[in-house]
Order: sequence, then C-alpha cells, then structure tokens
Amino acid sequence: MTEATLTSGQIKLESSDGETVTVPLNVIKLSATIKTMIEDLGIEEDNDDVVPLPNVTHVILNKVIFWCDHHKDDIQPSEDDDNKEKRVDDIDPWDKEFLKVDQGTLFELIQAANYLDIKGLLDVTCKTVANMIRGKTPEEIRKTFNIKNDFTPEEEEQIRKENAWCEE
Amino acid sequence: MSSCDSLKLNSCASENAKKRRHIEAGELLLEMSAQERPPLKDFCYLKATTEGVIWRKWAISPRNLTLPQAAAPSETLLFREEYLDNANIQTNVLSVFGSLTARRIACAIGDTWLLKMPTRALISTISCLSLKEVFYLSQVCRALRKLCLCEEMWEQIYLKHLGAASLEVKEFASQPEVGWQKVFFMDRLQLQKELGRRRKGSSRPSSQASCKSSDSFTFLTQATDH
Repeated sequence: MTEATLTSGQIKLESSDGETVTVPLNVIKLSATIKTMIEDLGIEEDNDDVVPLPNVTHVILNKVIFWCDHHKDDIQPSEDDDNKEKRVDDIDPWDKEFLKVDQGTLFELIQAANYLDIKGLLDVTCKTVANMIRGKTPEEIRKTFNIKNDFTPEEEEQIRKENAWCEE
Repeated sequence: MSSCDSLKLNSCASENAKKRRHIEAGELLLEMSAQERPPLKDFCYLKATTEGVIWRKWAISPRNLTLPQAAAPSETLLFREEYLDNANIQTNVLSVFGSLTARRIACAIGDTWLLKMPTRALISTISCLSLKEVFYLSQVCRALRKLCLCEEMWEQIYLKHLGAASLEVKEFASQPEVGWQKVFFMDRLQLQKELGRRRKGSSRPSSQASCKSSDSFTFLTQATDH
C-alpha cells in the first residue's frame, strides 16, 4: 500500500450489527489498527473487500468516523509528546461538544478507540472520564460510577490512617 | 373467579401501578419500540429511566387468533437493581434493541463501567489526575486501589510530575525492592546518593531511603503489601 492510496482510496468497514460503511482512507488512517490491517493484508484501493469490526456497532462506528473526519488533518503527535506533561483542561471545544453523551455511549467510544487504536480519541475520552472524577470525594466517585465500597471496616480505618497526610 | 382472587389481582395491579409510577418518575433515559427479528414478530417496548426499566412485549403468533387471552401484551417492571440482576431481560434488550442500547441502560442505571474500561484507558485516565485525586480514587474500592498503586501507574505519575526518567532511574526503579512509588517519593538528593552507590558497584541499595514525608512512605509500603 503506497502513501498515495492512503490519501485517495476508500475502504469498506462492517460493524458488529452488520452495517457496511465506506470510509476514505485518509480519515480512517487515524486508526492504527485499520492502518496496520490495510498494510498487512494489502487491501487494494476501491476493492470490494470488507473489513469486519466485530467489536463496534454502527452507531459508534459512525461517531468514530465523524471524529476522525474532523481530526484527519491534525498534526500527528510524535512519540516524544508522550513524555510531555499531560494537561487535563485542554480538551478542544469541538471534542467537548462531541463528547456530550451519556455514560454508556462514552464507555462504548472508549472501547472502540482502544480496539481501533485511535490515540487522539482515546486521550480525549479518558480526559473526559478524568474530569468526571476530578474534585470528588471517594463517596461521590462511588455514586457517580455506581461502585460499591467493598472494603471491610478495618481496611477502611487503615486507609484513613495511611492517607491522613494527604488531607493536610 | 372468587372474590379473594379478584382482591389479590387488584392489590397486585395497584402494586404494579405504584411501581410503574415510581419508575416513570425517574429521569427519562430512553423510550423505544421495535419488532423482534424474523422469524419472530413480537413487538417490544422499552422505557428506561434513572429509577428502572419498563419492558412490554406483545407476542404475535398466528395461534394468538384462537387464543384471545394470549394476545394481551405483557408488562415487566423492574427497579434498577432488579434489572441489573435479571440476565433474562438484559438478553432480551440486547437482542431486540442492540448492544449500544443495552449498554446505555446498564451504564445509566448502575453498571460499574469505570471498572470495565480497558486497563490502558484507565491508566491514561488516572494519569490525568492530581496526586490527591489519585489517592481519593484509591479509596473507592479494592479494584481501583489495586490499579492506583500498581507499578505502571506510578511510572506514569513519575513521568507526569517529574518528567521523563533517565535510563539510570528507570533501572533503579525496576528493581523489585525499589519500585516507582518509592522512587517518586524519594528525596532527590537521596535518589542521587542511591544512584551513586549503584554506580560504584554496590549491588544492594540501601533500604533506608529517606522520603519527603515519612507518613506517605508508610502508606505506600503498606499498600503494596496488600
């Protein structure tokens, strides 16, 4: 697969619920999984081959493609950027609007971003989850995410003692 | 029908009406209807609120024409916990309305989706938080505590707060008796001393490394022992 095909061709993706979507390669190239698949399988441009995505429903797939389309011309972060400090308050306003979804959809988007290996989408969805955790006490976090407190009273007392320094 | 039976039926109906009102009083999440996939023809209706789920099913079958009572739609009312415990209804929702709908309902009414996130995504999420927030998160439940205290997490925390670690620091931290938590809380001077000692060829690093806060050090060593 040449660079030229990556910028001009199209590819067909099939969602877990059997819908086929045609996507320009320069949009879906943000997915490392699909990019590798194309390169390894040598899928030809405008071929009838369909790439099955057994873990992504069509609603989520369409959302992911919509996100990729908006971000297709972004400058790709290099490996070095991984070592830079991660800022949390820097969610792009467009992304913020895009991620105004219920928790179930957010979770599905995270699963899809992880499976398709779309770093930018995974980062921004994780930042959104971090913002849901931010500024909350353990009890408030449990309430937000329906998590049960499974510590024994002894363990809780122990944790409270150990963490006293962090309350200062 | 005896009067006793009809009384029972009435009280059951009023119980259901009460339950329905309670569920409908919750914030509406979604309301949809669909026909089951062929060869089934049953109509299904689903309403999910923050309080629970209403599931109605109208079985369609040629036989129903001869059995008028069978054609009446059935209704299942489920509070949040009841829905989450009822695998049967969840399977029905999944097969008729698809996995995204099933997921949206589960997440909205009590699924612990945060704990089901891929580990890589959770680590990325937690590394966005401040140190204090990480400690709060570690007090939520056992699973999160384990994750918040794992080596990989602390390598990320080191990276975020102190920048990229040198190869020497990485080697030092990767020793089983040291670890990233210890290196993170270690006094910078002490760390340099330890590294110097290692450079000189002393194979066993001092275990009495000093720390910014002795309390935090206790917390960390005890936490890893769990």
